[in-house]
Amino acid sequence: MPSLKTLAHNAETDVRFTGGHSLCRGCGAPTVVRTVLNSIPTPVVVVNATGCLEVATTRYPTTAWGVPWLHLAFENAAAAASGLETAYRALRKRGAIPDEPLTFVVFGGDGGTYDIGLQALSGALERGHRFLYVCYDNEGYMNTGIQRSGATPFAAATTTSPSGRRDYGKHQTRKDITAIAIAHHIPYVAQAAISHWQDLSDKAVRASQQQGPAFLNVLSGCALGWGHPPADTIEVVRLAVETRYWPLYEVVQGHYWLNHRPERPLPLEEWLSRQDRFKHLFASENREHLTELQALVDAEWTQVEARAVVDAPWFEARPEMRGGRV
Amino acid sequence: MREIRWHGRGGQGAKSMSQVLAEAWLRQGRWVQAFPEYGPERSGAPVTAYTRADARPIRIHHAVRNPDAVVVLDPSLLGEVPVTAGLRPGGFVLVNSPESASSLAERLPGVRVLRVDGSALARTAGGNYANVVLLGAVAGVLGEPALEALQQAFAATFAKLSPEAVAVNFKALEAGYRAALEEAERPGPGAVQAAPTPREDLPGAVVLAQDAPHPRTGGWRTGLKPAVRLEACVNCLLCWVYCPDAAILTENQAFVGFDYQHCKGCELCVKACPTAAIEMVPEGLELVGQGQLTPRTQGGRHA
Ligand SMILES: Cc1ncc(C[n+]2csc(CCOP(=O)(O)OP(=O)(O)O)c2C)c(N)n1
Ligand code: SF4
Ligand code: SF4
Repeated sequence: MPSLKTLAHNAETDVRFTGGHSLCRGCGAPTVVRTVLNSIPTPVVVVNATGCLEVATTRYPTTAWGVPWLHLAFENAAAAASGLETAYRALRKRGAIPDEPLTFVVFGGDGGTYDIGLQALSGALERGHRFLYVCYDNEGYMNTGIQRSGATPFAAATTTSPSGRRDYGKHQTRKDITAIAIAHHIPYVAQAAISHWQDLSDKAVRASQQQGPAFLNVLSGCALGWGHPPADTIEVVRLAVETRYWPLYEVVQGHYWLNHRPERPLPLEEWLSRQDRFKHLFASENREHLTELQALVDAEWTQVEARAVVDAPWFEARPEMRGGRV
Repeated sequence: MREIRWHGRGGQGAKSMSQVLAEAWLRQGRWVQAFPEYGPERSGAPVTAYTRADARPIRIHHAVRNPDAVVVLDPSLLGEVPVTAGLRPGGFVLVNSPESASSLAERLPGVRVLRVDGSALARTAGGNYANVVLLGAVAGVLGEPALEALQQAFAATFAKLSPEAVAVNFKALEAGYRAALEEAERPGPGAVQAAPTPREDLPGAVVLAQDAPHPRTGGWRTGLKPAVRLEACVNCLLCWVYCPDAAILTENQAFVGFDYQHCKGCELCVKACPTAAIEMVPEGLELVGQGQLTPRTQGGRHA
């Protein structure tokens, strides 16, 4: 279980991601990247899907990455990582390159993961490539101006699911990508959030130690798209966890672990009311949609809770879970 | 052919002005182009846009590399973006700034620097946007397009504005067009090279990570910077883990201060600190070391 001192030490000795990028003031995506990369003990190779993170960190001729980094397209990050991993394995077998551990990490936004890159992701998970796929989930296509994605929650307003006199935001429910990943029966799947860095860091370590695919869905934050001051990003994400909107759990070789059970769960409104994208839900004519959203959140929580075989506090060390093999 | 490059920050209207300028030239029978650099137009982020005009059809479609004129909407960009890159001999850089032309010229040695206090002129006209004043000013210096064409183009582009708002912007355009611009030039190396030279032994436009320039994003801050009272810091490093811009500096895993070249002033560190050791202070406040307040610092929250 890495401490923040360990992460800081890692960042001091091996700079993997720096400032000097053009992500918005207070963006959540860098926290996903820095926490994950600074936690992984081996050298890493990063594949990045198109999106805010990719566009804003690699404006030609600049870069914020201190690691080998590859961008191909929006839809094929997982396919590109599959190819890299296979080539690396083949070259190692042939003795053409040294036999050193290396972790392949993909970063994709929710658009690139839930929707556009889904078939490439599914294929890579099913083929069993040894890599870690990290979705930094900001619940919308933010780079192109906040369009709805499969990750956008029910009733949230985006530019393509607007709220107004005649509408209440997105009509459809959020796609459960974590459940989709679990259904691939891969060694490791987890859901995390930037507000809970220790949990995220532990999960990055465990995920990177698997012998097969690992999938990490991290709730990131987007001040611009969610509509709150940049200074509130971490707090808003924390509220998503404390209201049970975003359960922190992991599935290790088929076993569910609930990592964090809010002691006194906060009402969902505490999270919603901090964001402009849900502002309209507090108007009297939209009350029913708010109730509907609450019901969806409750149902998902109950389902995860029912499956969890063990309740594990998110900060607890579980050595037996380390380095699990398929 | 005339080629103009616009530098601004997201939200300052560099892209719109590049379009209005093209539209005005179009009304005077020119062939035109106007387009922004594809990239993040996040509020505060540097934005580049281009305008081209010619008496004949324009057959090139790439970014303007050798501009005749460069318009800088935000003086804080001077330390961040190579605004003189590729400037043509005889060209000029027009800067929106309250600072004198001669002091601006110190920072842009070897090129002709013009300056106008666009923000002040915009306020006098009753508006808020310096970009319109700068549009008028650049046309005034070039001698084209005509003021009337600019005004028509503006009204057509912003057709949804109220008549009052249009009148204010017309005034601002005219103020810029007729403004007596301050001018200076200091001896120096002149226009900087456009971009790092791509590696010749590699295909395409490959720049190695270690050769890549590292953009400074400190100019995104809007008047406040974080500062720390180290005697109150318990070194939990929560500010460090949540800073999106890796601007919390550590030495031997201990928090020592801020990287102001990259800190965007989001205040996440202030919120993250459990002992309230970090606070936002005015940009100009003198601090010790890399952003430390001492018990004797004047002007901080506890002063
Ligand atoms: C196939 C394809 N479709 C559309 C685009 C345009 N595009 C670029 S980034 C982006 C949004 C990315 O959204 P997401 O993956 O959620 O990441 P975010 O920007 O929110 O971080 C879109 C639609 C593209 N580059 N490629
Ligand atoms: S739009 Fe959102 S996700 Fe994209 S850089 Fe800005 S804050 Fe980050
Ligand atoms: S204000 Fe604090 S958290 Fe935000 S960029 Fe600056 S140092 Fe980082």
